[in-house]
Amino acid sequence: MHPADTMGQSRDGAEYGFGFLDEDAKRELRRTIFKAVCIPGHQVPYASREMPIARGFGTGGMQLTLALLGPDDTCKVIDQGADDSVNAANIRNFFALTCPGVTGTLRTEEASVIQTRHRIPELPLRADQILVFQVPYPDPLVVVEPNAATRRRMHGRADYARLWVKLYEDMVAFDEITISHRYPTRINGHYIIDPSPIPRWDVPKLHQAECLYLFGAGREKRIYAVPPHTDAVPITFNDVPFRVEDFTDRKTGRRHCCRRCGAGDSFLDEFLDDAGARVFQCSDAAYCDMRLERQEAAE
Amino acid sequence: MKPILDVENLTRIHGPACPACLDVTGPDHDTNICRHCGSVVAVAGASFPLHKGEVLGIMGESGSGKSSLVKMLYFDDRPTSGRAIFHDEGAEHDLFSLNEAQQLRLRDTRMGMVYQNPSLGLNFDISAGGNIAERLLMSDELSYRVIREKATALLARTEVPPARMDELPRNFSGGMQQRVQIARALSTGAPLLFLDEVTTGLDLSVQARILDLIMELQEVTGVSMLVVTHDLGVVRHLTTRTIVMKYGRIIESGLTDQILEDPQAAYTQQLVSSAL
Amino acid sequence: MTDTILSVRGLGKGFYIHDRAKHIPAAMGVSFDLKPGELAALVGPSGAGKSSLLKAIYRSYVPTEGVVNYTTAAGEVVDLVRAPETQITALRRAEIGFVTQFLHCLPRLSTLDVVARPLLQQGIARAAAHDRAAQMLAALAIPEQLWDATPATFSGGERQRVNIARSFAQGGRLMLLDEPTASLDPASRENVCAMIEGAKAEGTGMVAIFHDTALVGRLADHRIDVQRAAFEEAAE
Repeated sequence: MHPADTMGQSRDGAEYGFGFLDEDAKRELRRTIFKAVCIPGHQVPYASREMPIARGFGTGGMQLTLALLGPDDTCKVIDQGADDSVNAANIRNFFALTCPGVTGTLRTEEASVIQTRHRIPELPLRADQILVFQVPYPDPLVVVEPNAATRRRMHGRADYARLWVKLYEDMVAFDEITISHRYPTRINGHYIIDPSPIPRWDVPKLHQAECLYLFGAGREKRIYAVPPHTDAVPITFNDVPFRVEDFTDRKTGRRHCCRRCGAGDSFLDEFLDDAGARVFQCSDAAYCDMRLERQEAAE
Repeated sequence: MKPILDVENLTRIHGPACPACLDVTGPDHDTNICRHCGSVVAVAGASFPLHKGEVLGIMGESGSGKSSLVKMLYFDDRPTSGRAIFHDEGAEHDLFSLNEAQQLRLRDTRMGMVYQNPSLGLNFDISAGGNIAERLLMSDELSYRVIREKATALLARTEVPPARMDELPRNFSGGMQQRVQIARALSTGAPLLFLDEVTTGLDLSVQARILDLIMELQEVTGVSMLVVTHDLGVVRHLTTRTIVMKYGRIIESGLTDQILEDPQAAYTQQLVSSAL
Repeated sequence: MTDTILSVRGLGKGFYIHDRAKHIPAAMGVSFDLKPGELAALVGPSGAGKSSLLKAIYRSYVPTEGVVNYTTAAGEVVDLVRAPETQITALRRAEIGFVTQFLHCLPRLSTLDVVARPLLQQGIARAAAHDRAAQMLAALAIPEQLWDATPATFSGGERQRVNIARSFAQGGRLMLLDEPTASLDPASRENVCAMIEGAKAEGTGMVAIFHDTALVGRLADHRIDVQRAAFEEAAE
């Protein structure tokens, strides 16, 4: 985040670049980010670099993060809400290894750059924070139009009727819109983005946020952004309101709560415990831990 | 009657095109291929008005340029030169000076097309109702209930059984596919409709029913239609005026009964007398 | 001049057949005037071009020479030979009717719809149009059980009557009749004559061809002799 500070000195006195990426790559990525911020929701092509992990494992997000990080930054990496999955932990370690000075953290509120897969943290992000998404499929139109050139023209014209037709077909078949993640979302009244595989729960957080959201698709070589204070509206019909996941217990009529921290306001993962019973737990591990800490401190 | 569409000097040349193209092609030269540069002159200097509420036939053999003409007006193809003015309820659109977004917007909301081949006019991967919904959505109708009701009503009007509206049109018979296409073309209440050989390839009995349906809908809606066909029967039943084309040129135009009963041009006489 | 609905001067028609590079004269130099409520009968030998003249007035044929001045309901004098096609179309819809010898219609339409169609095209409401159509069919003694069937299945005489019903339902200020009674039995012929007389009484001007000379004497106010085109111009 501090381009001026990112030059280091090698042993023979020659300057070398900060972090993993060379200066040219970082320059290109930053220019692409600027363009993406200037045209909210527009997929800007860029020259995706080789990363030391395979494409499809978050290389788009990594390149964005590596272009953003400076020695003063604090970085958090989450995978489906958890900081401790193999993928998240290794990417965080990789940043610590290649970017001297960068601190890793598990706490959402401490991080200046957060790289994520499939979730937006429960804690509202601040203006000094950036959320970087790993994106597998950047183009929401790919399901309705196979030709990439045609898709780009459709985006240009905001020709999205065929996405709505998908919703229509959903309504006809199921009486509801069944898209569970990657919910097509209109940014700033024009472009519709694929917000990466976040649950519907997280989609409203894109709207008029304090922080900057950046989306990187390494394999598909696209970067796009939802800047702070920008409209982000999930597409729907006038008479079919957008709904987030409902955690109401059908039997009791009350909302399920996290079995660890008792939170009743977070996105919950459902699974079977060792005894075979259905249990619910916060998907955002940092949020869950934070609540537990506070409860302990209060006691 | 005021024109809804004014076509002026519309020309489409496929190939490099040279200054001699137009002088060495046409009915007088018995070819539409330029002998100097090998370009194909699909349409040359076509000018005609289409009046409000009128059904105008464009007749000619395959390769006469009749489909090319309509394709340009529906933005499926671009003209080499020429103009077309669309007088749309007070607004005047110089069709070929609009940008792509404006053109497609016009085409999606203010024009309709029924192709000979339903796969061009319909999306076979979505239901019949979805095909109608798409057009309604293009014209910014965003209420699911309204879309559903309108799609049901439109399909009922074109005699597609409501029970089949959620089926994929690929499972339909040719005649039914054409009905869905017609419903889709009519869905936005567009004042301008293009029909390109809509009954070609259908059974005779189905043809008659489709023609009947088109005629009835035309009377009810007052939509202006440009009907491309090589079938004299279609021209006779549907149109009030007819244009005859050969090698890209309009060689004759007149009242349909006059074209059929008292054709003036040699080619039209031949065409009419060769009808079964 | 104001009460003349149709003024024909030197109307002629010839065909040029490109295949045989041959000019075929069909009818030449016919002139006559017609007032509202009058009927002019074109008489002459078979092949003299009576039908051609009628079609030339209606513009189904492109007239080769002459002037056909028609006074519209709005009082405007229009030369039907030179009027733009759209004006002809509008006049045909609202003012000028033609009864052909043959009926062309799509097989699916019911008889009632066939007769009502021109009325619907004039913008008359469906119910009113059907009422008028029913009235006409009844006047021409078409049995009511046939009204829902398509005329495509009818006999020649029945079809002819449906055709006449359609034209008279539409009415108009000028009607062109091409052998309207050709294939009718005597009773039907009488019905048609009554209908023609009724229309005349309402002020419709008519130009007609009858195969039956007795009808000429009974219905015609003017007798226009049409000579074979090879002859010199025929006077009224």
